[in-house]
Amino acid sequence: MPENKLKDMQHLSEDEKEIMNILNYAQDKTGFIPRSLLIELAENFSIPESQLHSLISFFNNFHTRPAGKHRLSVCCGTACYARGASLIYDRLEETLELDEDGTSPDGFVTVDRVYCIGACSIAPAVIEDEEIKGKIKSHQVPLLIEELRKKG
Amino acid sequence: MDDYSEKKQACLSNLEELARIGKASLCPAQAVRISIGLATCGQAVGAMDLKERLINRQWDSTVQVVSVGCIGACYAEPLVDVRMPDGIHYFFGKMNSKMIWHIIRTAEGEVPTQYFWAIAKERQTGVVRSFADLEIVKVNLGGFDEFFLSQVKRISGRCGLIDPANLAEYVATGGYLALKKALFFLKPKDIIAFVADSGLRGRGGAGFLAASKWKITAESVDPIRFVVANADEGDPGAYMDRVLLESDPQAVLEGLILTSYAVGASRAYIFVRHEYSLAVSALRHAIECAKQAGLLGQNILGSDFSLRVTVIESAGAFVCGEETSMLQVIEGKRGTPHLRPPYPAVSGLKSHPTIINNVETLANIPWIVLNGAKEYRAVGTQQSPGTKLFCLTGDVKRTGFIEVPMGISSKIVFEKIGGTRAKKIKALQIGGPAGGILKYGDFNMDYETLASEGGCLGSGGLVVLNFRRCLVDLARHLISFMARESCGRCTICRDGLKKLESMFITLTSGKAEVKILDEIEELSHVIADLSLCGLGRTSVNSVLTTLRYFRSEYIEHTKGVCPAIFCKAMIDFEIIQSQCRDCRSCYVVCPSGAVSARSGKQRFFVDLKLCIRCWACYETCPFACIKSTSGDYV
Repeated sequence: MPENKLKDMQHLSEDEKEIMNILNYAQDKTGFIPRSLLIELAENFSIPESQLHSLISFFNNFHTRPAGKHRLSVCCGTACYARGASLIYDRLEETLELDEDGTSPDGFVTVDRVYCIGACSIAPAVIEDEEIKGKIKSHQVPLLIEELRKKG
Repeated sequence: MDDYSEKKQACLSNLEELARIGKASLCPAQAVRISIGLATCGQAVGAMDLKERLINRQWDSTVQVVSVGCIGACYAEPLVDVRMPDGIHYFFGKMNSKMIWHIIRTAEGEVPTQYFWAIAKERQTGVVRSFADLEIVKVNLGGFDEFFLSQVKRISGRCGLIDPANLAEYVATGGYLALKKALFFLKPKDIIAFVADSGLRGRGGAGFLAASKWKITAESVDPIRFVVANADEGDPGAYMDRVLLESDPQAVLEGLILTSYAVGASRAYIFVRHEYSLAVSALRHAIECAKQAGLLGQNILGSDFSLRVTVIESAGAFVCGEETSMLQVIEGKRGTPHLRPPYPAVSGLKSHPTIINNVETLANIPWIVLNGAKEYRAVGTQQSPGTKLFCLTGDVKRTGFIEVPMGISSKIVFEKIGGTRAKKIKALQIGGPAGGILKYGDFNMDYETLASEGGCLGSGGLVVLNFRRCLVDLARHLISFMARESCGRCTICRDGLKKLESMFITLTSGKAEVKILDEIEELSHVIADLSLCGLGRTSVNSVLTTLRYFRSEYIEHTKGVCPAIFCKAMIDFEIIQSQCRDCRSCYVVCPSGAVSARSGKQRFFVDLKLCIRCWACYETCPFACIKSTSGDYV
């Protein structure tokens, strides 16, 4: 990993250099926000590092530990929940033996719950990495994982 | 001054040029235009693949393939609109790669006789400014007539018709006319007066009059003012902001520019959910295009008004919808809400006066400036004028986002537009997790009526629940959500919701006694009364309304029975032997080995000790011979 992470973000436009946008960018790029970035940010914006910690711990999407290679997000918005999202999550949890961060022991996949991705018309929805999959049934979960494994 | 007028001339002629280009691409006189709905709802069901196939095809005739947003009929995605040069639109719903030939044949000039969903005609050939300019002349499948006829498409009129990435098409459909009118013919206070007369109420949830906070900011002595567009749409079940941003981002931007002009702000922020990746990129692209056309930045359209817009991405926190919390995050701090007053309109971002408006509210502004307050009040009620966007989801035949007059009857929304029979609807969740769960009935959809029913209009998410949905479990789910989203500042919200959640878990696992209902009710009232911000105060609405309307269901749960046959601890599965054909599908699919086999015919049975209640057998049985029971309920 490069030393100076902010240097990686030189190409970002002026507007994108807001703290929240940088954090989101880092989260997307590496899957988690390393402490070294926080130290750099704190220096750059002249704010205490503790303030950044309190900011990232406030949001569900920011993680401070590395995530699995793939990400499965189960939408638990009301429409998806009513159509059986909890069954999908339970099945995933059971099949993959997830730890408290939602990552499988082999580091292959991280499963998390998100609240409404706005795809209510195809509820229940699951986001596999970037791709939204709709109308999933809990018994299709093993198939979903198998397909993901094929991707490598 | 000369520089300004020169720039003004250049900008205005540029706008005219854009309108010309846009019109030519929207309604080409010689070519066929194929529009594919590529909003999130379309992409999720494979519209991207369709687009690629259509683009890569060697066409015999002149064909333009464009991507548009969502027309609202999310149930019909992937939806393709084929516009012939004579102004006839053929709509094809639920397209897939096998049926793509029908589109191709139609585009090549054959008149389709089947497989199309609807035919619409432009009321005046070559004029498409809004969906209202189309007249549905024939409906074949999908019920487009029922879905669209009761709607009044004002601010969502362009959605699904124009290419959201193409500024020219927005201008051609009357975009930025309102801005031109405002900058050159109206003073800021005129715009505020327009909006005040229109009676526009904030669409974010609380329903405050938009103009009243604008006035406070506009009259402030502080010269530095901010406008923030709230696109941090966290309400599960509501996605109107996403649709607007994906399908018509320029309209939101124009509303933002007008609002900033009205209150005298030179800096604006758009606070949008990071999860809405398509909306974020559409928005960024729209801002870039607007800048290049002189509609944003220094001296907009050659006037002396300048505005800089910054997009800030949120990262998933429900409480950020609370305005004081959002401002904290924009400043780069933890988003704990503040006590109001002072209201942000007086002292907000960096202690300067700040106006925060929802995306939908902003999208209303250009319409009001262009058409006037009187016209705006032509639909809706006296107290809540205008139209409202709703998202119709859950157990309903036609899901989608709709725009209807305020105060419309619930019967029209759910039975006519949604296409669901009244006897199949058990309950409605209106206004997201902070709203209420109401009994279905005939009521008017406006702020006052819903508040008197114990719910709230909120941002407009409508989730229909049928008789298989357990409301006690749903309330538990919503309380868990709220407990997780509580920022932790107020003790009662942080700990009270956790306590409430554990009480609900006892209830849904069948270990509770009747007296727990009173305890739940009491604690809920305490949380509602003692919390500081809107999140805490409304967090228990779902509990209070379900206790009010569906108390019998709670009482059944204390007896260990779930009337909806959902709660895992209270249900059993059984194979109806007389219907079983020994196809083994339940045996194969069961993850816990609970489906066991005896020898001989009709040999399968469910071992309830091993069963984990995952419903896999129930969902896969091709002969529907798995029975789920809870007490006497089947």
